[in-house]
Amino acid sequence: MAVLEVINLKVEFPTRRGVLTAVDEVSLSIDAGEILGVVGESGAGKSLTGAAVVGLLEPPGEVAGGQVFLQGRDITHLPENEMRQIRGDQIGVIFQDPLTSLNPLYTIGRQLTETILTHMKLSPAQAKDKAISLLHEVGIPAPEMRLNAFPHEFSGGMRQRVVIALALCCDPSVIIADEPTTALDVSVQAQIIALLKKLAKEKGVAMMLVTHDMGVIAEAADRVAVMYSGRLAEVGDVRKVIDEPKHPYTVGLMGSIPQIGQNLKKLPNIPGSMPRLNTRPLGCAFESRCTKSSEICKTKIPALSSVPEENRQAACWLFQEENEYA
Amino acid sequence: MTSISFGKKWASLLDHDVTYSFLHSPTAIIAAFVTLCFFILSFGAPIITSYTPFDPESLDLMDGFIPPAWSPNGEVAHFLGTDGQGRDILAAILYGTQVSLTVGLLSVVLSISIGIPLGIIAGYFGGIVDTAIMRIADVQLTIPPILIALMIDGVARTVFTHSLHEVVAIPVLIVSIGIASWPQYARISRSGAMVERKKDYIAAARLIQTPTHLILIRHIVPNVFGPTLIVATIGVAVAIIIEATLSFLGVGVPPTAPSLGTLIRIGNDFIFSGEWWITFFPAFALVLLVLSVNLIGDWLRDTFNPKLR
Amino acid sequence: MHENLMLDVQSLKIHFDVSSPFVTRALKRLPKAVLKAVDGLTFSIAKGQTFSLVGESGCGKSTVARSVAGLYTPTSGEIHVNSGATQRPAKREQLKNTSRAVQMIFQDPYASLDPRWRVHSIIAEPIRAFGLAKDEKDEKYQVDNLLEQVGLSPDDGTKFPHEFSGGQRQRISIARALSSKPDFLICDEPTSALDVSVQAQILNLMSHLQETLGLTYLFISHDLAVIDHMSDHIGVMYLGRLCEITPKSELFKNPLHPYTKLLLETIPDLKGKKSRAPLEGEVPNPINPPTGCTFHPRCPFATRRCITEQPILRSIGKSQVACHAIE
Repeated sequence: MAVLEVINLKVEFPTRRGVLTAVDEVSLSIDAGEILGVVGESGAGKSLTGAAVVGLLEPPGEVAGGQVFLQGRDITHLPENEMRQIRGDQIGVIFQDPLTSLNPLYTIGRQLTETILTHMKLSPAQAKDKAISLLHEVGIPAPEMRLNAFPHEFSGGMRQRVVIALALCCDPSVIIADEPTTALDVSVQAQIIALLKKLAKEKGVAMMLVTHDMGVIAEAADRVAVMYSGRLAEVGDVRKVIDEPKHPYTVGLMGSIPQIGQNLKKLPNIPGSMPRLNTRPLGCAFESRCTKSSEICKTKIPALSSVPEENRQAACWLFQEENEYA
Repeated sequence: MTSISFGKKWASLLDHDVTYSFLHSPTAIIAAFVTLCFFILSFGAPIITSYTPFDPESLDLMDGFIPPAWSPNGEVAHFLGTDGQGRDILAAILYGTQVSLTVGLLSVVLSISIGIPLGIIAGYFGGIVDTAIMRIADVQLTIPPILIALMIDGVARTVFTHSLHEVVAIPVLIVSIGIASWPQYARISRSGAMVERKKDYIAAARLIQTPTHLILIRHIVPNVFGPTLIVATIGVAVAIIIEATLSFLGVGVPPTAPSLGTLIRIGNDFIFSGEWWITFFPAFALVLLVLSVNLIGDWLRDTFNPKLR
Repeated sequence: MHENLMLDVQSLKIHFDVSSPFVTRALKRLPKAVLKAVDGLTFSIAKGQTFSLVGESGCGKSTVARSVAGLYTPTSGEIHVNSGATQRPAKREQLKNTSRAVQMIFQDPYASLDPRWRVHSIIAEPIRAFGLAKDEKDEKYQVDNLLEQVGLSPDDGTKFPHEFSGGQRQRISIARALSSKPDFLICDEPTSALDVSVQAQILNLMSHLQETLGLTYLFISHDLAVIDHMSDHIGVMYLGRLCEITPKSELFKNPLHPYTKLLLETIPDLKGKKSRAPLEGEVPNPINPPTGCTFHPRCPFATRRCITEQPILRSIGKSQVACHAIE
């Protein structure tokens, strides 16, 4: 059974110019020990999906449809006090910027033990031991001494490890990581990716890795969900999606990423840009930039459906008949 | 400059988020309306009322101490009553507001004219220039603005002869309140300048050898002016109160051009003898005016606060 | 300086004094702290070519870019631009001439355009500064041409920056840079803040402009794949020094310096590396860099010599490498 299951999630923003749908009928599922990459450009809605799952949508954004199931339990519209108990305990969150994720006024030891004691029934001494073992697990040298250090005394990569430790401290079953490596140097990125992979496998944590960086996804994820203009374009095994993309957007995206040794004069690219939330077209959002579009693409939104003979899903009329549209 | 049609500019103004916010904020609309009324009525006083309460020759002691129109012994002709000298209270308020608004607005204009340039110079250049300007500002900030205004005003009184002083009293008041308040605008402009100077568009301007003074005027000032203006709006209210306080204490405007503060002082003597209206109405007008300006300032600040948008 | 060179940098050093204020230092007996952002750089760029500087954050590449542009004064060393026509530090009269010919594109599309100015004025600023337009009509003609050249429309001139996306803003930045008809363009991470598909559009635009206008580029980036696509020659920087200078064909086939090799192995790549040991440790603090070769604490080939003696660039094959272990 999937640890985290998202069904037809819809996130809306009521504004003075009408209601904007930022996330439109997105369905995902993550199993224990699996890393699902959610990739897309800025404005595609991937961060909002992650935020909606954890109940951290900033108003006026709201979940306007769909459901989120955590280990079978519907947590979509839980009241805030119950959601707070789940957050940190069953769902851990890693944000992009380690500098602002940690409170600069408290030592990391205090932040760790505080989180542990909030969710687990341990004595302060036991919480301290757990904090030390967590820091050790994420690769911070001499953890007993670092407990009394403040966040600014750590380097960027070390800080992110502390944030990961914080996310892990109550043995959550799900971790949502929103651009965990974007603010870090390239060589540190690799270390953090390796750490995340190790933790997912060893602890059986289901991880949602949200990022715009396909390279990170290629390294870290098992499966990938590609988002475009608030909807899912393609979902599948990471190596297959990268090497043999099906959805025209994914094809264009993979093609436009420069690769070492390519020796091309011109990078293939997709002309135009992703429609903004307030200018989404009637049919498929990618239609105006698609080289393979047809009449039906202009008027009907293709649903995410299985690509025949592949363990893949794509939201594209190329792979489905009209009467499949539900 | 590109010529954009006036119609297009007007249309974009109407459609602007700020306009929308204004039209949807009842407080802002009411406050703006009240302030506008004060402006129009006070500067239109000569047209609105035939009384000239500060021209001693038009006064008649027999008209003294008439209560407001709705009381017994009241007269409709003197709607809010008269004071001991026969001055019509309503007319006095209108003329008095003129003085209050003039001093309030012009002193803020002066403060900004000193504060913004000093602030952006301190913020843009940093180092010893910054330290020098800010320490002067800090020292001045330790002294309450009223005291500073009192000091400058006191000096003026000794320098100018009595009759000359009557003429220059209002400009002196504007200058003293203006000088008392520049540090806060300098501080805001300074932090704005410090943020903007690091941005790449400033680097781009330096790249093409734009002289520093032009960078300050064309790039820094426009980007720093917004937050300063918001504080200035509330600053007008504060300036009006400072002026009223000084006039109440008797060291502000001369008796020939009284402001609301003076009127309150005059009426103060009569509170306990029953002629309450002589103080009450000018005081009420002052409170209403300051409150309205403050509310506009609040609305402006909330509208431009990026976090709240 | 050779006729053919657009840029010639010799032993460039840029040090910043980041000491605590004098009183604090005296009371606490702290030493002077100097941030050696650039510590002895030597390289050159031929006309019409693209030279890239690549490295992680803190290696000094942005500082180099800004000094070449004239925004920082070198602590020591020389910068010759455009066949010796100007050198930095330069005299006032020379500066005006060079700045017309040397322009810069910045990393952050949200901070590189004045939010209060309309796009037309932003692009026209260099035109006005150098008096390149006869009158207002000529100015508009030039600006409209530039807008079209970068893939926008003349109508966009009346709009404000906030009405545009990140990619479009970079196009406006490029139009502004081109408006003074420069020969040399310094590009400081121009696509790092952009989405990957937008990046492809901007890189293609820049390649196209280089071809049609005969521009020379100094290209700064931390993204090796982008560097590979754009460059003719590449300089790898670490903590203010050049480790290796190589032509593009050599960098990925035959990396010589240990840092270059490790960089190549650690960048996440679409092909997905199977299992590689990530490079341990992090980039040290440039205020107190390691002695000798700054890379020695993280280098698997470090020897005694590396701790004490700073390596200098030596030619090996088509590249230049600064490493004791290679020799």
